[in-house]
Amino acid sequence: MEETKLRATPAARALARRLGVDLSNVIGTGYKGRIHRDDVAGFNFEDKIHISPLAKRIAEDNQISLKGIRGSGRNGKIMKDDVIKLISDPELKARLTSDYFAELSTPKAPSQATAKMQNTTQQAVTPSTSAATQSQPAGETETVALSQMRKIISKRMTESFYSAPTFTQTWEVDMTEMLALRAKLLDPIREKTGKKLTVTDLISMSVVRTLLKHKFINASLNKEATEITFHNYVNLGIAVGMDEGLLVPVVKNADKMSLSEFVVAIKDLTERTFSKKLLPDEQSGSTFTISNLGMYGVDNFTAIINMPNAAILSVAAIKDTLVAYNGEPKIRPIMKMSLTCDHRIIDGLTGAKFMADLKASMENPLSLLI
Amino acid sequence: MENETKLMSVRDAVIMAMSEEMRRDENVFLMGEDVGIFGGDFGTSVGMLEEFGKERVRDTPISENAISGCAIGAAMTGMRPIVDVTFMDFIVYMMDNIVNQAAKTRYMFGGKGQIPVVFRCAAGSGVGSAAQHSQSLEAWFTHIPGLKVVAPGTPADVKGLLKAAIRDNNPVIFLEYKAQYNMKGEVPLDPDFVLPLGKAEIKREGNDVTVVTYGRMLERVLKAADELAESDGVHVEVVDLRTLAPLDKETVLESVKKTGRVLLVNDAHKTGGFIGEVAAMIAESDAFDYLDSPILRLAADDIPTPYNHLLETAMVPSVERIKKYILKLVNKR
Amino acid sequence: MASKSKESTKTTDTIKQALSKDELLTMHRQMLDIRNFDNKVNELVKRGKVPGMTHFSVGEEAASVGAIAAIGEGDLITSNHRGHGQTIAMGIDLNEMMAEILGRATGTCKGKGGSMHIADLDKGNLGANGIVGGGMGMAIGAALTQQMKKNGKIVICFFGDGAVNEGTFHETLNLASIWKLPVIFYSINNMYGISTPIKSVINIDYNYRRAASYGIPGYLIEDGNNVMDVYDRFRDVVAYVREGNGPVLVESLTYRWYGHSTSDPGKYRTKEEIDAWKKKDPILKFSKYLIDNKIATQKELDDLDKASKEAVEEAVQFAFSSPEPSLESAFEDIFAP
Repeated sequence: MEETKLRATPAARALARRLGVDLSNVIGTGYKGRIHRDDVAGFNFEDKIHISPLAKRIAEDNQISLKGIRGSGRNGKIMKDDVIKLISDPELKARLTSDYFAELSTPKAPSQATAKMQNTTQQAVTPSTSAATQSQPAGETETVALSQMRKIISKRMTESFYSAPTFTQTWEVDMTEMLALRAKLLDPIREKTGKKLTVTDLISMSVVRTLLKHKFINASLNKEATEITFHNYVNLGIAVGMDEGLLVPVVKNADKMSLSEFVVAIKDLTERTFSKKLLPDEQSGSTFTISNLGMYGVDNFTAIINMPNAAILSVAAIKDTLVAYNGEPKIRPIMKMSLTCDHRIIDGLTGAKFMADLKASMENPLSLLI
Repeated sequence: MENETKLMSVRDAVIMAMSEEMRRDENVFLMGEDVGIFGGDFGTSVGMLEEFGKERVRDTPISENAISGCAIGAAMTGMRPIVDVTFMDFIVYMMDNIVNQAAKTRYMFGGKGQIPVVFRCAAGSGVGSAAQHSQSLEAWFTHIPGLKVVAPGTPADVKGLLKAAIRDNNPVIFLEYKAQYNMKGEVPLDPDFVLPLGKAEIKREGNDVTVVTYGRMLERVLKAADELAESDGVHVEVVDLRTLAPLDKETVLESVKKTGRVLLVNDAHKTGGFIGEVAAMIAESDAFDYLDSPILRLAADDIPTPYNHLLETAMVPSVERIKKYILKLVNKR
Repeated sequence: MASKSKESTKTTDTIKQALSKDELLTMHRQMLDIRNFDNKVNELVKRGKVPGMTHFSVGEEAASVGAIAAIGEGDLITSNHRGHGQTIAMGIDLNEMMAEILGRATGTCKGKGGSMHIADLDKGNLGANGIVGGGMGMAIGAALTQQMKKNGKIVICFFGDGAVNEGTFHETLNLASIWKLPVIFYSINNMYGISTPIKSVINIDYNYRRAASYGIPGYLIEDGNNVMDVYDRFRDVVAYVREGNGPVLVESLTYRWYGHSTSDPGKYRTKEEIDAWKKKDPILKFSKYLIDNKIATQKELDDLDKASKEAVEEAVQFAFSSPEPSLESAFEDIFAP
């Protein structure tokens, strides 16, 4: 590919800017690979399938998924003949038959069929990327190219890690009161929203309430590190881990929500994250992020800041711990949480003040109502 | 009488517009070559000599300079003349009077005086009249501050806009397309049916592509749009400019922002044609960021109009070519 | 004083009696105004104060004044680039005219027209014109309006010897003649079109003869510097045209003292020629006529000159103290509402 000019229409560029999409990651379907608006819009951390309407229909009729398939048409477009070739091979067809999560979570073992296809039909169809593997005999090393999603996560994490000098403070929180509150609210919330209230929800609410009193924590630094933006609203990012990668759906204007509203919002976002129905708009614009690995029993960890946030809260597991309580040894449910801050805008004192407030509100959650 | 319409040709709409205005205002009169007993070179003043008499329907010698100068002098002193230029090509003989006198007089006089004159031109190719009798020269006049330029594409618009041009207190270049004098359409009979100058009209709504056009090509663009909706499910929004100067930028830009794709079509030559101005206007506006394709133009080839019918027809955008260009935009090619 | 114009139709006594002393002095004052105004502008040009082109009527005063004295309220004129003479004779406000030449906002055209485009529509002056022959079409159109409105008004179309060779001369005279429009085509022949002497650009002796091609009367005023001669002829011609007999072509011979425009050093004319014509100064001629015929005294005439010079000086002060037009005004007045 000698042609290195990134061609993109003004509409595509405008949309990409708005969504924070890097155009070099997008496949353009226009003239000389020009990126059009719907190429960016369809870019949703999913591989965009570039396929002719007829081929699509045949694939659907035969219930095969064409993720990662590159066709013989212009710019890798999948054409009718490509699909017909795939479905005419029963082993290949079986492999490609749609089973969404199964496909995503288990790396495919190389098959005889693939090997055969590789040898005989070089020009036509080349399966590639995440799910599919190169044809190698089992037992030796396996090399896969990074998926789109992985590429993006990699880029983001690298950027964050290497541009922000961070420090982390770890605090311990006594979760007795919060757990009690949760128990009391479980039924009412279920009645009102049909959803199950989790501790994470309550932790998130505490964070949201506390954030507005600490403007440097709820802030964003621009790329050139010349301007801090203080937000007078909270868009809370919640890290959601899946097997193939990490997504951060954002609850917009969380500070204006009641607990019920928040519960509904976060449940909805999480569901759609897993079912891949998240809109690009819902993955950006956060002012603060929470990463919770508590359910996996982690004692403590530090997350990487989700740019352009100023900080990230890593929430670990609640563990029954022997502590000194009012001078006496007691077993209390203790949770460690760590605040990782961008030292360019947050100093230790600022972080500590926030955490102190946060801890206080979590240990005395009724203060949330004030 | 209010909302009644009648199916009539462009030619009849012209006669109706002029006659109504002449009945309404005794200062309006018509002058030009063969407008009287002959009824106009294109039959656009048939019956008017009989109704209004030779004072107000004046035959002139073949003297474009004197005709235009006389019209302008009369307009300056209180009359409201309509000049029948006949073939638009002959307006070239009138250029000094139109460009150096009519367009600039009010300005040079610091706002004193007005020149309410309409120059009606039979423009465009399509009737085998060859190179010196087939031009559409509207682009030249849009370049002159002080002139208004109008190019309607349907009989109703012809009537409404010609009346508006006659009532306007400024010099107006009014294009009629000689190939369309017989084209029929519903025209309101209300003598007060007047359309505003300077306003474009969306003749067809759609979400996929915007096609901006005017005059003779409007008919073909609408046909192409209808056919594409049926065959390819492509929905074209057709913007009919109607007035070229002053240009209704908002309507054009709103449509471009809506669809993100625009094709400009007219029957004048491509190079230096008016649609180039519209394209540049779009590109430098804030609609630029909504463009999802390059701005395309489709116009007549840059050749003098050939005599041969096949060559003449091929020179000008056809319905097929319009469809092709629209699909180019839709298919990102 | 006997009239020297060819083909005259009335005796001079009856003509002389038609004008009162006031009217005659008005004519004299007009000529003085033209002379003093243009001389003053010339001076301003030499001092670098005038921002554009201008053309002087010095030496040609009688040709305009005599003609305009024969028309009245409601009659119209069109003029050419050398229009100061006609403009002043039509009664323009000198302050506004000077302000216009200096490009000020208080000028007749708000500073947007300049010397070549000064118009005074209320007083019947349809404007000077920058295109040679540009006013001819307008003149016949204005005449058509008067004819259609049946109001008995007429138009004098002023142009020079140069305009006669433009196509518009032929076309407008032809159209005016067939429609019998009430217009007087008046060629002020100062014998040069910028640098080309008239003899080198026409194949006949005088342009008034061309009237025959259109079947209309044509007259030559041999002494165009004699304001009474000019008036005499125009009195006849105006009456003829006003009766609805159709147009007339008149030519008068005169001379401009200065170059074509302010940027013309005038190398194409000899000093002898210029001096010879200066001796035929129209203002001196008329002064002599007025004094000889005991219509006015030298003192009265001197007073008139003094008043004229004061008016011009006042105009200069007015102009210099006037503001420049605002930048926004450049975008105004393009279209009528």
